[in-house]
Amino acid sequence: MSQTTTKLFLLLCGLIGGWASAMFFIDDLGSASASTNGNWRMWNLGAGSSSNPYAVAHFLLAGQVPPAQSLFLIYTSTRDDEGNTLRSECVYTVSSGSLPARWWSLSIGPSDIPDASSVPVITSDQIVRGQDGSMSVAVARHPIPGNWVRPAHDGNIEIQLLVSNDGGSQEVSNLKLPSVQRVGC
Amino acid sequence: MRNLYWVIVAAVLAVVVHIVTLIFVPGFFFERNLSRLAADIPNNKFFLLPRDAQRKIFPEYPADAIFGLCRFDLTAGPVDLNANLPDTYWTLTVYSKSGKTLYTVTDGQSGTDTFNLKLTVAPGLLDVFSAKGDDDDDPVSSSGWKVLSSDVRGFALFWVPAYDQAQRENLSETLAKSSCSRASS
Repeated sequence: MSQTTTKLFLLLCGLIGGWASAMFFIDDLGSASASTNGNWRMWNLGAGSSSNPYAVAHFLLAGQVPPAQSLFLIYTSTRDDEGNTLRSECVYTVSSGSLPARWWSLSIGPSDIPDASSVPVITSDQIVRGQDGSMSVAVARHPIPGNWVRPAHDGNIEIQLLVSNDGGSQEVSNLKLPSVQRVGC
Repeated sequence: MRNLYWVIVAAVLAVVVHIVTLIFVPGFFFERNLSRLAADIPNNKFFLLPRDAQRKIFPEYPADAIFGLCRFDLTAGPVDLNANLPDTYWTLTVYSKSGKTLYTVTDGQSGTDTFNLKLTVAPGLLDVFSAKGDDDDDPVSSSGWKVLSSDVRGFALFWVPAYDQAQRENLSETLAKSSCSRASS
């Protein structure tokens, strides 16, 4: 290999290595495990934290506005409680006790393929709760009685939980996140 | 030995590309996306985000939520944001063009649903040192709120949740009375 080729190869390695490491760390460093139960990850959008630029980049690259952490906490999960990848052709139940937040939404991503018939979001304003305040939401491509969200995308899906952090309540930061159980495929 | 020099150059290049990919690329892509979704809306003008654009930028929010936006450009001077909000839950977040959160306020924190927010460029380091304590703010005329932006461009975002289409129309009517314009000198 000539000297010029070696130099070009090294520069190319630097170029690709820098880009690839940024893309890898955006997903890896931007979020952290949010709970011991389940596979929820919390996106750290708090100002001044070292993971903040990675978390912000994650949202901006997807063309989305990163929620301000003083107003909202955002959690995502791509796996059910058993660790299996979430797929749109399966049926899941997302259940939880009462969430101590002023407002929250549970949505199914990605939403980059528009599907007019999909209903990928349910909020605290819309949900029908149990008598004890608990909630249970079915995630499925076909209608299911009760609270139901329909993914807008075929293939792998992601569950997003956006929780109002209004007032920075201690209760919200110690939130017990919902369980995600696979019912069938 | 000669190759060691080029290995170091490649490593430095990798770090530079990593930082550029992380800091500048996401903001560029987001701004381009936003410009495409609201192409006919000039800077320093308040508008309600159309549903299609909303669905793409805020997939974790229900379609009935209302988003009001002002893309500000402080190159020619401060911008006045006159907020007119419904008597319900709402949030306001001011972002820099790179997605950094500059300011947040909610209905609970503000204590009022109509207010004026002045957006101005934050003084540079030299301006701070050369200032002679001559704060130009007249305590009477500057009774509104002021946000100092480190970036000349950015956007202010209002969010108001709505239960259904009918409520959305009512709340939109109130929010649409908000305005955003160059501050009169």
